[in-house]
Amino acid sequence: MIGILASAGTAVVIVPLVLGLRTVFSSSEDSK
Amino acid sequence: MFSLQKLLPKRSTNSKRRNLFGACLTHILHDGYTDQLYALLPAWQAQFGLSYMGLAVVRALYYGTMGGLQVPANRATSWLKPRSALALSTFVAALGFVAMALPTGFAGLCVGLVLAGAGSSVQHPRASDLVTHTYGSESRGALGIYNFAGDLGKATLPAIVALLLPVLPWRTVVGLMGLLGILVASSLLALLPTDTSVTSIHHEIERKRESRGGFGVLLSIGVLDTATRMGYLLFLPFLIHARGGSSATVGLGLALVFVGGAFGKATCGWLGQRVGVVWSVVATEIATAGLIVVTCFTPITAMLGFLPFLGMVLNGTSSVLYGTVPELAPKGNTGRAFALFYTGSSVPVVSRQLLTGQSPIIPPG
Repeated sequence: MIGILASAGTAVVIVPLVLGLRTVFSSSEDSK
Repeated sequence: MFSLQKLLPKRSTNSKRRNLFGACLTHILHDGYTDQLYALLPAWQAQFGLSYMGLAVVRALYYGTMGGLQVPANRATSWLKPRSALALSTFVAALGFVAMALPTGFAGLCVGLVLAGAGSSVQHPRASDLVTHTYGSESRGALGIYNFAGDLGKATLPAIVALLLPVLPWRTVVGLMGLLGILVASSLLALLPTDTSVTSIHHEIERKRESRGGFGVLLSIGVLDTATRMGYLLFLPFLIHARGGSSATVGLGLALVFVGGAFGKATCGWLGQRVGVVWSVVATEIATAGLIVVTCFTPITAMLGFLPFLGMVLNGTSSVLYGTVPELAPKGNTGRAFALFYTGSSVPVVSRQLLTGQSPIIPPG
């Protein structure tokens, strides 16, 4: 059970990382 | 703004489809090669008296070579046109299987596995690169189809091998797989266009494109996404057993995740193209985490009902991530970026195999 929930935790960790990519995409839009 | 599409000449739909079909055909074969080893492991265990750890190491000979050589193999073949690179690498992989089929003992088997792994190491970066440069700014959906093709190979070739093994000696089966590879390599020479436009576009892109940064973050997300998938698939059988499920229920559960995953790979690429990378990945990861928790606390029947949807988001994220690689490739070198991304995504898979000796059900790519 702990192992399975750890997998869910890993998926949650990805969310702030991918939100960090938003800066990369929006800065690219700004530089158009 | 840099646009791949502006650099691309008006390419006929037929030519685009041939490139995509060639890349998919290569992906089907090479991913099928990777997973058919699972069907062969029992035969090798009986023939060579291998322990479970020995089997995991034998499997890692192929997977480790394939994963570890992706970056150098992409660089070494960069002077070749995609057509030549894919056909040659497929031929080398097929040669590896022919070598395994020869009666040269365990050493011959290991040499064949390394040779086949070296051949297969070229496929992911060069075929992804071909699809990217064929479809330009619309490559996300095409990369989703390419990704889905890999799952087709993982589903069909191991099944064919498993059906043949009871009626034919394993060396004959492996030899037939080698012949299939030679046939596919020859087909690629006939199928893929001989023009140099893709290569020339590639160099132009490298020269013109400014790096947007963020590739390291994308790579980290790819590794974590694979770790999530591997972690869940590792523990799912235990979860089903804990709910009172039999081995057949475990098989059904894994199949439901697999079917949903294949569908997710084909569709989530388009989702990324429609709503954007960031929000599609946020949505799929939150859905993944939520559905994982749900499967932990629901009765087995309801859990089985959720598994295809979990498979969709669990595996579908990878298509969105792969589709983003060309956009964030350092210096626009998409081939190297794909090689790095596939290598990084292999780390959780190889680690899991060496730690547990178990097979991944839905490996990356």
